[in-house]
Amino acid sequence: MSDVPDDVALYLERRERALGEARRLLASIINFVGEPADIDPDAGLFGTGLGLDSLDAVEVLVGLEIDLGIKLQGDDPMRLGLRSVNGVVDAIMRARGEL
Amino acid sequence: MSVAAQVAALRSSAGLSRPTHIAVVRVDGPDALDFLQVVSTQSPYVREGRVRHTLLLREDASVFADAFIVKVEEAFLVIAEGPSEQGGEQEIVAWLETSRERANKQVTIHGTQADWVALGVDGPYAWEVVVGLLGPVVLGLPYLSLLRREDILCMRAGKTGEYGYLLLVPRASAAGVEAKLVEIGAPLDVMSVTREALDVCALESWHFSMRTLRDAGFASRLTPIELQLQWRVAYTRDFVGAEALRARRTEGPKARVTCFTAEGPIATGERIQLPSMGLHVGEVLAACDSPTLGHTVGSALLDLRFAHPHLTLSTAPGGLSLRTCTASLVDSRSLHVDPHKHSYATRGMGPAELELLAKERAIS
Repeated sequence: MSDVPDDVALYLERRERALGEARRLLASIINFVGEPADIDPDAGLFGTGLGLDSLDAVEVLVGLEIDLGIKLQGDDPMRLGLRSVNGVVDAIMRARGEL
Repeated sequence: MSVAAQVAALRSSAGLSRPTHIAVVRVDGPDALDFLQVVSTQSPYVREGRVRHTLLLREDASVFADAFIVKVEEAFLVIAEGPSEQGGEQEIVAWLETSRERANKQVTIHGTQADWVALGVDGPYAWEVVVGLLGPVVLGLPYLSLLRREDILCMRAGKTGEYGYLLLVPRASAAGVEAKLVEIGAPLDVMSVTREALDVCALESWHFSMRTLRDAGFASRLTPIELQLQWRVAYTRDFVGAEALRARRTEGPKARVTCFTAEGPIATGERIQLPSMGLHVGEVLAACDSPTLGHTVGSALLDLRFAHPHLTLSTAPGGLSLRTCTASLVDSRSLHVDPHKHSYATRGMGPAELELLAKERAIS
């Protein structure tokens, strides 16, 4: 990405990596039939979008901790900003100090 | 009343609307389910009382309509927003008729405009208004479900980020029902709201609105992939536009719709660039002044590698700065309102006050 500044290129690389991790995690939780790449970044987690329920929400928190080593302070996904796939990506990047 | 005042009502109490842009089309006949399988991006199979949120695509996979499908007795209703503001029912009926001829299915398709009127109630206390009309059964109505109460159909859906109900009322009694809603809503400061106010709320809450496609001409070519609506698509099924959509998916998307905010007004179609390099990265699809947030919110079609939140972009060299965001931008009050605990009259009360009030009510 020589046409973009180094800091932007680094951010975009990290963002893509975290998005891939979030998609794989969510795809495994909801037994997603398609490719993880079909999960849209702004898709909501609850209600519309991926249609997660409260049990799935716990799985997201557990999955973040076990699969990615990310422990979030709190147990309410909505209060933690985990309302969409991008919300999960933000949480991953914040935990890693990348955001 | 200003759009800002209407949006404030939608975000704090409730707004009443007459969504004349929504078409309600009845599909009857022995092949009704098979026919809807052919036109809907998701299986239209729903048990009575549930609502399927789906899309109708053109053959090139671009989005033709944003639709709900519900089953009522032996028929299905397609409740849809089409591509133009005024087209309404005729546009949807004509599209379905064309598809019926191609699919060779035995169905009858007819608009219901002459029979029914659609009334919208949206807002964090919209449920309180609808309870006043249809009774407490509304309190337990989950999102995307349908309630039939005498001759009124009530669908809980909504695209504002708040509680939302669409009432289908027989035309003969519509004026009376509307007057009743106004009467019930008066103590709740309920206000009549326009399509424009509802569109602003949809953009603030990052709900897909056909406005996104209407405002920018080039947007009418966008598919569910660029629009981030793949959760409404079952790729394993065959439907109008499926072949083109699968081809687009295999090819890989080049761009994606992304949410942004800006400090000043931005026009639809404005070019967006990476400021330090002057690199063109996309265009504005839709934008509006957000009374809730106090700045501009919008959606932009960005090259895929830049279609991420937390980037600073600009409209032109030295132009207005904009920032891509994680949607949704608004913390909807409805997320914090529980119809079983709260009411408009007790808004702002803390848990201790609510508990005390409940005890007092129990005693009295």
